[in-house]
Amino acid sequence: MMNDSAYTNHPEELLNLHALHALEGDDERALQVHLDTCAACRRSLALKLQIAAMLGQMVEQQPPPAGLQARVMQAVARAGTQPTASGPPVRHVIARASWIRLAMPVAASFFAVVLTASLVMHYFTVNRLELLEEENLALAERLTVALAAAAQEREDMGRLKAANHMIADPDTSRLQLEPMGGVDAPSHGVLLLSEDGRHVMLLLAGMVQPAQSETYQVWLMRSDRRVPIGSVEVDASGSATASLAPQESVFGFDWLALSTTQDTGKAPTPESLVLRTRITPGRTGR
Amino acid sequence: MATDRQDPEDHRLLERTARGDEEALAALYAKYATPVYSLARFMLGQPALAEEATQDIFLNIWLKAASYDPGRGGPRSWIMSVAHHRVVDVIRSRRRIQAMTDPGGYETLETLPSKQMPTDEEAVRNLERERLRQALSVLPAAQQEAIILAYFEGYSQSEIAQKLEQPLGTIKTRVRLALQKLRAVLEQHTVDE
Repeated sequence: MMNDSAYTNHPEELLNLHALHALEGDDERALQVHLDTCAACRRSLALKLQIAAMLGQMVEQQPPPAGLQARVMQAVARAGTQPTASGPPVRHVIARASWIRLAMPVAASFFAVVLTASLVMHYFTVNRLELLEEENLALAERLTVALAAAAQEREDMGRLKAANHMIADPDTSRLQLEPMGGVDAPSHGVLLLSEDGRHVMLLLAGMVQPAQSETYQVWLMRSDRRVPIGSVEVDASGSATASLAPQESVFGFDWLALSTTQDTGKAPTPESLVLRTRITPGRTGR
Repeated sequence: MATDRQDPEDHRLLERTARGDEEALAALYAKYATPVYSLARFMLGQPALAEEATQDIFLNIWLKAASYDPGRGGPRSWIMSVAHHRVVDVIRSRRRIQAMTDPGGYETLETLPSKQMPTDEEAVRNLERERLRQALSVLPAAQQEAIILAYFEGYSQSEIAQKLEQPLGTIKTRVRLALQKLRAVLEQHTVDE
């Protein structure tokens, strides 16, 4: 038996048997594969089929019954349109055609339902995705705010700890900040100074937030100089804690004052000053 | 090389049939119904079986016309091949049934239809076979036998080898030599026409 479709030579003997429909099984399948790729064998087969057709016409010729053509055409009409390339035997085709005619509407309905369901699912999925994206953005914003708040609280806690250390330090100078509006004014606070005057801690309460910003500018002042050393940010309750590190010792100045002035390029006016204290080493609050 | 003389016209008819033209199929029927029916009648031995086979053959031509490949032969060769293939299918199907119901009677196809035929039809059939043998007289007896068993009785190569108790290679050789001689006859026939 020939099982290899890639014949080394043209399989003449198999072509002969194929033309007589006497080939079978693996040989027939292998030859069909070979014929698809070998033009020479197709030409050879054409001649052999011509010889086979001649054999078929060697028998005595008898016309078919008169009514046979009508039956053939009726069968053709029943089979409907039309031909398939290299189709199976006709009885199978007819049976399959009937089956297909029954199955096609069912299949079409099924696919229509599947398609509709897919579109609906797609619509809801897209909407759900958009909602999830929006929720994700909102959560990200909230997380950013929460992280910023946490960072602020950590920073505030750090300043409070630093203030505690300074308060507990016996070498720290404690000075009471006095409101410029007199003792009845709501603003008040404490200034803590390190021994070398290079570390300043401000503890404020009762502050009114400035109109243009939430910060007060801190100044060191003496008769010939006005030096800004930082700013203090006041929260909504009017409280603030600030830790400042001036480049010059505070003890080289006469006053420390807070102003509403934001422009550090020029000296604060007396009207802009809110709190002040005279700098005296070792002095404790009243 | 010999060619189908009706090739161009028949080719157009097959193309039209492939497009669903029933008139083209009717024209092909008018041309080929007689050789197709005659072959079916000779091989099957019964007019009723031949009519049914002929109807199936033209329905197959209608359904398969689009698969006709001119590279594998002319329209006449293709139509006769479709016809022969269908008739061989019927013979083999009946032989399988016969083998299942009467294993002892499986040996020869010739006895299968003749058991049911009247004596005069049997005589006609014997006469037809004698005519065929005369037509194949250009072939040695062993090659005639191989061709008759393969083409006209629908046996496969291995069945022929078993039936004749010959190696498969011998059967292939006989068929090859037979077709070579018939090719020479065919070419001579074409030249004479």
